[in-house]
Amino acid sequence: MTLLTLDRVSKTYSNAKAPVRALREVTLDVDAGTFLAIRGASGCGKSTLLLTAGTLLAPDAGEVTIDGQSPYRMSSDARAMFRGRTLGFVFQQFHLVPYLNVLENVMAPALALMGTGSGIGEEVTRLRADELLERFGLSGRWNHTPAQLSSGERQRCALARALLNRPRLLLADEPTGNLDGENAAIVLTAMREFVREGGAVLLVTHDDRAAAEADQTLWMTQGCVCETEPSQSDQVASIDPSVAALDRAD
Amino acid sequence: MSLSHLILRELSHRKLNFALSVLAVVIAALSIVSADLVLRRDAEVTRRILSAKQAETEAAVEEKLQRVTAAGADLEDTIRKQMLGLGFNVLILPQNQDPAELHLKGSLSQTMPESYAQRLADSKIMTINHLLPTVLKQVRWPERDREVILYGTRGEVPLMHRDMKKPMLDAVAPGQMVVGYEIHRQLGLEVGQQVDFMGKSFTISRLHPERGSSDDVTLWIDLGQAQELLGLQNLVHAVLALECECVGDRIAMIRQEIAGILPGTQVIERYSQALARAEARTKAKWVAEQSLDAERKSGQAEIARELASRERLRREHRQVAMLVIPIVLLLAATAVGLLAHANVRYRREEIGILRALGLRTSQVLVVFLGKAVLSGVIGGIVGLFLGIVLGTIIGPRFDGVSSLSGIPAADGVISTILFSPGFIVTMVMTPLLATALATLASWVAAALAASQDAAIVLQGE
Repeated sequence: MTLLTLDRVSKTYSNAKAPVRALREVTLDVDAGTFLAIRGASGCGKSTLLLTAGTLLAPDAGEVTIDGQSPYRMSSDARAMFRGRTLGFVFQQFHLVPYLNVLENVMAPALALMGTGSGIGEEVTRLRADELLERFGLSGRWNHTPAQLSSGERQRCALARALLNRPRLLLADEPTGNLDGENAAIVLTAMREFVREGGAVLLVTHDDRAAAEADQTLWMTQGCVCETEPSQSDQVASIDPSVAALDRAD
Repeated sequence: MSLSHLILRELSHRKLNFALSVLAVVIAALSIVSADLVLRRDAEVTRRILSAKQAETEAAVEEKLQRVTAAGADLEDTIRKQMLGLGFNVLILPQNQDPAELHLKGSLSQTMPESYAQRLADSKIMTINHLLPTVLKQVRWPERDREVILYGTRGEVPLMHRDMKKPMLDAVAPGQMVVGYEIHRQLGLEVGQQVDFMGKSFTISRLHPERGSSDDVTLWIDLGQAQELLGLQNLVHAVLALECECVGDRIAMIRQEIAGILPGTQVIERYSQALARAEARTKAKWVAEQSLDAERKSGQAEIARELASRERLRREHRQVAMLVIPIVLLLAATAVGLLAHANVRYRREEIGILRALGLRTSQVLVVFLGKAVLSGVIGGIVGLFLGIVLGTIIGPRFDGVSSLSGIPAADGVISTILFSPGFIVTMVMTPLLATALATLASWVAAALAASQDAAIVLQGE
């Protein structure tokens, strides 16, 4: 079952000097139970692809379908609810809410479903959060704020948060970029576990270890997705300073 | 986990931002409440001062009124007694006697029978008492070479139908003479002295004190001797009726009654000391009433001056408040807006991730406006209480009561204001207005936050 379909999706950034084509008619399918890694040099459009797939960045052309629905045809609020219900995000910089403790950060996605009829209730949310904290070894740190955590703990917290609403698709942008080997392994193992349970992972990275966990690895160069690794010269040529700025975490 | 929980955690995390927002709202609310309190204090103090002044004036007027009323009552009582005791006097003259002669010369020339007095005494006339048949003529006192008024009197003719009364005037015994003030002063006469008058010898029995009337140039002798000296046997010039008793149009009643008994006579009212005193007292009463009216007008003028002064003070306070409050509100709103804007800028990443987690626009709006509402409510309530304290402290400096000694204008004025319906409205409205101010000031920032593109924030990372 295909969870994510990108059908000839294009995205161009308006730039003062010249337009930057970040995505060029990208076509991509991600099935349930699939761990797909996309690799590429900085500025090749990986993050744009992830945000477009994550319903956060509307494409200029083409169609994005997630779990059989077209989120960009929905209203802003409907798309937000759909995102909260269907997708999970993990970022290299963790993006934890600084004033919430670990438990509250993990429970935060429940806010998105509050009052929508698809909420899971306070008690269930708390149970799920406790399970996730236990699973990621954060039970003893539940009352700590992100500033009090190590990088690995922060990323595990972010992963737990991404999984709270039991999404169908997990979108990860260089999740192991700031982690040591041990913590990277924990994160990748958790993703693998998520896939095994029927979810799908779209991972953009240039970390070999992370890519090695994927069922399939695709390459991006100059806004295009290809199945084979491009040559070194193609990769260098693909680096657009503007897109690289957007992808500077790469 | 709820949005309110999220708001409260953010507040406790960024205390300074929230504290500054609350402070701005507190200052705005404080300004409004203290200004309102001062203005209400102005009004209340003015009301009390005017009320006290009014009471003071009314008391003064009342006191004067009581004095005048008492004086009036005394006067009326005196007049009544005098009229009762003395009555007023009338002269019964022959019909052909010109009264002007009496007024101009102090003497009379026309006569009527002396028996008229007896006829009156025998009648059942009720309006007159004490009948004195009299001759009254200006003559020359040849032995002393001067003009005098000769007054012949025989004493009262008793009224037959009445009980005997004590005579009002004593009769002058034959051979005796009573001398008026100017005569005995100028001639150096003394009681007991023998004098000759128109060839007859008289003994001075009494010297009258100064009366300021024609009495001062009058000689009183026995009626019979006077008639003899003047050749008017059994004739009199007038019958003097003393202590006449009647009310209303008294002279008309007397005239009507006497005309029925003595046709061919006329009755004129004789000026009396009692009447003069009554008139003097009437004038005194009139003067007192004028004084009372002046007192009332003076009090009213003072109240009007005080009112104008207080109004001027209130107008000045209101003008200052109208100038300062909008500026304070504008500054407070700007401060709250800038702080909200800074907060939004500072929380861009958080907003991005919340949007990525699926929070809707309205939820992001609630997160930011909720904070503004909270700062408005807290700032409004704190500002309300601080405003009351400030208004209470600075109020007396502006109400100018110290210049008004003896008026307890400021006592308990605050408690009166605090429980007045107008200020209760202020107390209810202040937190609401403060909340509205904070919410509106934060609206643009919250709207910016709600419309923030999560992708840009996340890409920026």
